[in-house]
Amino acid sequence: MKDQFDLDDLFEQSKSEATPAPVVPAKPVVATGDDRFAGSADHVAWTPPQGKKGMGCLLPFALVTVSLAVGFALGMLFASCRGADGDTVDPDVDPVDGAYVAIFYNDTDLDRYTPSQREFLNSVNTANYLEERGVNWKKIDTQPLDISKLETPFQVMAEKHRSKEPWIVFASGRKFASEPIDSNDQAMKLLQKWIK
Amino acid sequence: MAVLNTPIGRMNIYDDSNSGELITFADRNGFKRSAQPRDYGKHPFGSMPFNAVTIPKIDRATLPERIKDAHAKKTFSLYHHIARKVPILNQRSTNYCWANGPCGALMNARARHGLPTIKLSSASFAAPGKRYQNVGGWGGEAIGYMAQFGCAPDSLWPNHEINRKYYDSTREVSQHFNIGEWYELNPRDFNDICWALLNGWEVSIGLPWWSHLVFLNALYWERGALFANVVNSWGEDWESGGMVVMAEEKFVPGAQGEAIAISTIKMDGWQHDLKRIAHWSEGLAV
Repeated sequence: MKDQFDLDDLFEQSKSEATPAPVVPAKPVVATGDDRFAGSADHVAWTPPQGKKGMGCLLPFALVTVSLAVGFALGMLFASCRGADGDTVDPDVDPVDGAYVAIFYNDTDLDRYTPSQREFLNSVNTANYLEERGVNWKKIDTQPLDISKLETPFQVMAEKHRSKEPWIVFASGRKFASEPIDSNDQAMKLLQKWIK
Repeated sequence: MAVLNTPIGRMNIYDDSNSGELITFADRNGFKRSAQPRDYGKHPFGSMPFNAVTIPKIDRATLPERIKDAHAKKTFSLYHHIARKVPILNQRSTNYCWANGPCGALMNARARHGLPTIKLSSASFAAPGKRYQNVGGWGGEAIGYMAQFGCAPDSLWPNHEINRKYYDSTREVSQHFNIGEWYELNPRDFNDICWALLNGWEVSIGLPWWSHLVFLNALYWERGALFANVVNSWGEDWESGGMVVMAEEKFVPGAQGEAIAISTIKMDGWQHDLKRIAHWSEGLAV
C-alpha cells in the first residue's frame, strides 16, 4: 500500500486547528470501545474511588454518561477519517481503514533511552512487522511537534497524555491503546496483541 | 580488491590502496565530483541550527560489540534502506553531488519514520538555490536550500533536471518532503560519526580527497578495523547496488571536510523556522 505514491494523499490532510493538550502525568490506558464505535476506554482502566456512602447510585450513572460521551466523540472522530456519510453505522464495518500506530520519541533523548528501547525505535524488525500488516504507522519526534497539522488519526493519538517517552499509541476503529515503551520485548508484545 | 560480507552481499572495500579508482571511474564515466570545501571562516563549526545535541565520547574498545549488536538487531539505517527499497539517486552530469547526498539521506530517513518510499529530486532545491547553475556546493548549503525550497518528488522534477520550468508547479508539494532536524558532527575523527550511525541516523559526509559528497548508513568492524557503508549518487548500476564499503581512513572527512547527521524528517505540517535558517545561511546565494 505504501509503495504507491498518490499525490492526492498529500492534500487530504485535515485543516483542524486543534491545539495540543498539556502533557501531564498519566497512567497507561488500554481501552476498547463498544461494538460500533471506537472508544477511549479510560473508563475500562478507571477504578471507581471509594466515595461517600449515599453516592453509590450516582457514581455509576456519571461513569456511564462520561464513558458514552468520550466513546462517542472518539468514534465520530475516527469515523470522519474515512469520510463516512451514511446515517447509520454498520457494526460489522470498521469505521477506519486499517490500524494506526504512532511511536513518540525525542531524538535528542536517544542516549537516555535503554538499548532495548532504542532497539524497538530503530530496528527494521519493528517497521517490518507494521508494514507487513498494512498498518499506517509513524515514528514521531515530539520536539518540535505541531499536533494541529498531523493527519486526523495521528492528532487524536498525539493528544493522548504521555507521562514519558518513548510512548506508543495504537488506534483502529474499535480499539485504542496508549502505553509507554519500556523495552523491545514489551512493546513487540503489545503490537502482537493489538495487530494480528 | 578486498571485499566484505554485508547485508547486501559481498561489497568492495575502498581504502588508501585503491581509492584512486573512485576518482578515475568518475572521470572516465562523466560523473562529476563537485563538493566544495565548507568555508569554515564564514560558517564556523557549530553555527548550523540544531547543534545543541551533546555527543558522548565513545570508547573505541566498545565499538566492535556495539556494531555487532546493531547488525544483530538491525538498527542501522541501512536495514530500512534495504527493506523499503529506497532508490539510489543518479546525479548524471550535474555537479550536484552535494545535494544528492542529503536528498538520499532524506529518503532513507523517511523510510525509518514509517513514511512511503518516494524517489525525491535533489535538483528541486539545489537548482533554485544555485539560480539554475550547474555548479558545486557543500552539504550544509544543500540542507539550507532544502529547508527553504522543500524537495519535490522525482516524478514531478527529475533529479538531474536543472530547469526552472518545474519550479512553480512543485511549490506546494515540495513542502511535504524535508529533513526535520540535523546535527553538525566533528569531521576530524570517528567519534561523532559512529555515534550518529549507531543512533540509527544517516550521516552526510563531504570528502575533500574525493571532492565528493555521499552519505553513510551503517558501520562494519572487520579484521580489527572500522568501515562504513557508503551510499553514492551514481545510480544503482555502480558497484553493489550503488553502495561500497569504505575504510576509516577514507570515510572520516578530516578537518577540511564536513559531516552532518540527519536525525528526523519533516513530519506533516511541521515548518522550519526560516528566519533561523536565513540567519544561519546568510551569505548563501538565496
